[in-house]
Amino acid sequence: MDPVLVSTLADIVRNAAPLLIASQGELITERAGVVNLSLDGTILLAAMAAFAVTYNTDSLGLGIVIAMLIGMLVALIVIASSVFLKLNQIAVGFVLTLLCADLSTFFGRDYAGQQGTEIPYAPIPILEDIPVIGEVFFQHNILIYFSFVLVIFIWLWTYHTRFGLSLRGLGEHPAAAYVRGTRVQMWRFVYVAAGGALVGLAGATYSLSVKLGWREGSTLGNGWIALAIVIFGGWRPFRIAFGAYFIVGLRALALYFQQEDVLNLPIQIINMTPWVLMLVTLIFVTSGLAESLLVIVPPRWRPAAQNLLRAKPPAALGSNFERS
Amino acid sequence: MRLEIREISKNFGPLKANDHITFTFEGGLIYAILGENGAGKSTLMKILSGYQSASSGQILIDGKPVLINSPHHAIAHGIGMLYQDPLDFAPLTVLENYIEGKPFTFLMHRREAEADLSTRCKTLGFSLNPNAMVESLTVGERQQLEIVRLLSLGVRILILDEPTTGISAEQKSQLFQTLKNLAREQNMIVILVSHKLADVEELCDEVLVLRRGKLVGHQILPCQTETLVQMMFGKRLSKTSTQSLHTDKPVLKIYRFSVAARLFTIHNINLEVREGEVIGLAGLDGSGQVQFMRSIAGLGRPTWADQLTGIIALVGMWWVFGEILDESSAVLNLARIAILILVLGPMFKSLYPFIRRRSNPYPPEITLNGQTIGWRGYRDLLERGVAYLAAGRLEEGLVAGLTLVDHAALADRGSLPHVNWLRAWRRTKQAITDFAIKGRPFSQIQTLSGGNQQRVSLSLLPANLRLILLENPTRGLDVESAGHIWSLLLNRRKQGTAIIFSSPDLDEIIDYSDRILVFSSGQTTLVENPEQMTTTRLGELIGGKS
Amino acid sequence: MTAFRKLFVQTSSRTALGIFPLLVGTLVALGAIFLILNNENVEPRAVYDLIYERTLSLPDNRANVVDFWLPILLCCCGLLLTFTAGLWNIGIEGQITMGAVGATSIALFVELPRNEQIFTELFMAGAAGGAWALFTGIMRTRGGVNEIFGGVAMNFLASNFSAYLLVAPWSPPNATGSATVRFPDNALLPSMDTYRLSPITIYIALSAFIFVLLTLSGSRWGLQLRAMGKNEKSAQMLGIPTERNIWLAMLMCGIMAGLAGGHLVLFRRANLPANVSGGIGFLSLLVVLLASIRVRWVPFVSFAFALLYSAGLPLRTRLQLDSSLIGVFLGILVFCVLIFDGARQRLQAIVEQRKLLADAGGEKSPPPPTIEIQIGQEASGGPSSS
Repeated sequence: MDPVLVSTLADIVRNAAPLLIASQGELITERAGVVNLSLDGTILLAAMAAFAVTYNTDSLGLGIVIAMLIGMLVALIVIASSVFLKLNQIAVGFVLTLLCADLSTFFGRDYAGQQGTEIPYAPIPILEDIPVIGEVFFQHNILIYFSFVLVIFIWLWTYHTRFGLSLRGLGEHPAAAYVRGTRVQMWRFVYVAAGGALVGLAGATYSLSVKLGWREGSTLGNGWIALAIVIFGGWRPFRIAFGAYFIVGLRALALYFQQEDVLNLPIQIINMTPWVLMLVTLIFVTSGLAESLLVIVPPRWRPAAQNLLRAKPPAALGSNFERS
Repeated sequence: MRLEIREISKNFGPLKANDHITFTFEGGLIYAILGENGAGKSTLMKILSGYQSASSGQILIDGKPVLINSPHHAIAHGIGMLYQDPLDFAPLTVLENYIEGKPFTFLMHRREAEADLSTRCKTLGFSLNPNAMVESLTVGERQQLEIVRLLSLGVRILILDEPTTGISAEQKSQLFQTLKNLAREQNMIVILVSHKLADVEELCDEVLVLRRGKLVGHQILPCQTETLVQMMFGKRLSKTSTQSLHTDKPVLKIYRFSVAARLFTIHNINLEVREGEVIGLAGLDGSGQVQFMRSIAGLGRPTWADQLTGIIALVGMWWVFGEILDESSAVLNLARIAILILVLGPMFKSLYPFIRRRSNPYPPEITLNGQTIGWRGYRDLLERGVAYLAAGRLEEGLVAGLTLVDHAALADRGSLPHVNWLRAWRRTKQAITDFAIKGRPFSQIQTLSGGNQQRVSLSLLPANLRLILLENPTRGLDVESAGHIWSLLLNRRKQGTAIIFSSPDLDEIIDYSDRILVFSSGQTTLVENPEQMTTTRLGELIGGKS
Repeated sequence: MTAFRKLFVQTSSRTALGIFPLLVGTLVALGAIFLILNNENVEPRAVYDLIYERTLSLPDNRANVVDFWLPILLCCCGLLLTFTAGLWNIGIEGQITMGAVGATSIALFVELPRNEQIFTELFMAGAAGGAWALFTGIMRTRGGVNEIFGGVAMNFLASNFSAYLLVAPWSPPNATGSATVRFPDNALLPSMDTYRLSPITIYIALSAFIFVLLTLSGSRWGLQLRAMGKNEKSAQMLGIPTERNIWLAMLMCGIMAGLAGGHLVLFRRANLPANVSGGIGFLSLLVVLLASIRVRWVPFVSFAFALLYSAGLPLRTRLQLDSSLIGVFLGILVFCVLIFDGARQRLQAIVEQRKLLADAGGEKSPPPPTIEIQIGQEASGGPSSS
């Protein structure tokens, strides 16, 4: 295979890692029935904090942990204000987005443009020698490996364990989950905190590996993209992963084409394409147009196709559970 | 098996939902709890099943006092409840629903659970496909799933809340047989909460009657129906006799109409509704009655034609803005914007019938007073005299957080842009006296009781309607309120208004309808003479027996 | 007629935002800022002096603040409409940007007599912003795309689109792609003689505010929007044209945002820079959130926000702080007000519950149901097991 293409693919896997981690975090948050809209700000703040802590202490581990704690804290604020104060999750999430972004700019101003440590490169022995696949997937650092192992883990967790079963029930019909002995509020807190920690980790992945270093607003917009990917992915781990790779891939392939002089488009137009595609796909799927076109699919495959297109949010998303 | 409740009380503020209720349930018997709305039936059941906790009192199982804090706890003590609105997970499969709630294991153990489920289904005579999505099941099947699930958790006391609402005659007899077997052979306690005396007399051994939170009667069956009625209401009820008021002049004609229900599509519905006629729609929950009425009222899910016009508009706007890039003249740009606003808008509407006709060579036809209305939206139809009242009053009908006056102002159609508060206030006062609404003009709507909310909804309807469509008009109302709502509705017929309504209560349908349209598994049958109809016969029709 | 008077009291001033959450919120936000300043070894007094000097000390500075305030007020007016209708118009940033782009497309390439020129520019600004918002509205009602997601997408499209214009077709010769050339004077909004303020924008902003005030307080359409905001399905059943109202509310909000964008390029900047909106759309969202959709609070809150925000820039050069400090302050302020307002409402509900129970008489007081909800599955005074 073309070595440039292979290295481009490897770049895609690397660059998509934070998006993947953040959107999987938001996935479990939303599956538990909570919207954490603060992703964009949280990722910025976590990225800044991870870099600043690593820069000051020379400890990558501490930087990552602090980033995850920040993500968790923000997520917990969202769920706590929703549960205890009955505040609108979207309003709180939105304010936190702006607040966290400003906090990151303010506290990160001394670290902007500084040289920092990078997560050590650690190819996986044996696996890295597999042609193409080895180079694409197994010649990165630990956070990148984590990103795609996480997808598999979350898929196994939601679809093949009892914990995952109750997670799906939680966002779907909390009252039914409660009747079956699930501690609704506790598990919501747990999943939201875990999701928040993953979002924080995504921030750390940016500043310690993918975008290396910190400058004002360096990851701006990626949180929104992650939120969009969750919707685009129909709240399912693998479709979300596909969405993340697809969007990063689109950008990378355009750059590759540019290098090869096949196609010459300004980067701004390329940046627009994922959004346009996402809107078009979403309109196509959620408006029911796609479903009404399913008549052309042979009846035997129709349920499977329907299932593939299914993009319903968890029924209790954004609502508060009340025992009446 | 023996369940004792001692001095159970539950207060909601000043309201005593349950007032020192004491009773002993014995194993092997089937009990019924009867009572009007608000008599405290469901509160008592929620206390037993752990959904709410009692303010005071004691529950004893086999002589031992137990503390029930949560439904899960109740199940651990062997008390399981089947809720009226099934508490299950619609987008999950039957098997997953069955597994969730079992004692915890880390993995799902699908195979074992599936084997377990199918053997249990077999012994009970149920046939459930473990891999079907729960949302594709009928209410009866969801009930069966829930019963199997509760039994697998070792439930010995089974409480059922209105289990016969919305299930077919066949499913009902199967359910009753199962319940009898459970009580007789396994010595279980079965408690049925219902307001249908016929069901209670058919199934139960003993009846408890609650009134205003107190246990006022205990009766061993069989006994006279009048005795039960008297115990429930403290007085005899006379049935309101209705006479038909319809003329021969058709109001609404429906030809070749098809409706996509939750489980199947019903093709080729033909119906002519005459002035002043009442048509009842009978059928299982989800058989298409609601979708049928909604599509008549223009409230159906947007069709792909609607979507397409929307998408054309989006693409058109995209094109306009794409073109602005060119160094074209301002005048041209302005013209484009004008095209966008002036042409595309009306295009939405004019495209509807066109696309519809193209998509179907034999299009359905709905005419109201001779005018085609098939593609019009609800608001448009409302102006033409078609009104719709949905079952969920606070979900689709009234706006929680607004007052009665606000609602009157919203329903008020004047030509001036400002709100005429004085007129709205006067109208509210008028409606409160005319419709006997218990509430003040400035009460927020959600503080009213269900019956009063329904009366407000009726008072908000415009005066000269041609057709009223109602989804389950007396949902959650006690017999008195229901009677009042019906007398208000039937009065409307004098102006020539036709009424189409759906209800899970077959008695209600037989009592008030001039004709009945039965929906059963993808087909419709029109019953011309409901006077000669019995509930059993209607139930059979619904179940698909002709 | 007491009932009628009551009606006016009820409809005109529903539960006014308690002053308590606002006070406490301000105190907490100030405290947080003092802590931060202390940590940075900067005298709070110096920051205050700087802000005062920049904004209120001189007439020109005051005019500058007002000039900064007007587009924010315009955006807030639009957002009041959408918020009342229950729509989260997060796409307002993109609508501002498109308004600016629309105005620029005329200002750069068309030459007309002065009056027609300015009218055409403002018309294009409003039309572009309005269309951008209407697009989101149509996607919501017809395409099933939530307005938050649609708005975010449209924001990115707008900002990338304007960035593209700056690098390729509209880029001035031998420039870096950060701004267009300066517009000809003929294309700019006229200024007052004494202060650098645009009378046209003042008229537009004031009439927008009066329009929104009248609409929301006394018009049938405003009442319809309010009903839709509380329950869209019920509103539809009451015969309210919900789809049309969504489109209209979005369109109007977009037009106002577009005009704000037009003001930014036609008066404040005199050219189209990259990232033209500079976050004032999100700032307006914060204002409307803080005022909890109370129309009469909006001008004051938005003025206070504009004052602080416009004072941000010199912080970096003079005190080695960053202009984002103002953002931090405003963020904490709005957040705390939300939290304390929520807490106040919860407390009120609990107190009312208690009162209700106390009225019930000498029963053993069970916990109010609302508390039960929070505790979840914990035992809460259930039947005793003894």
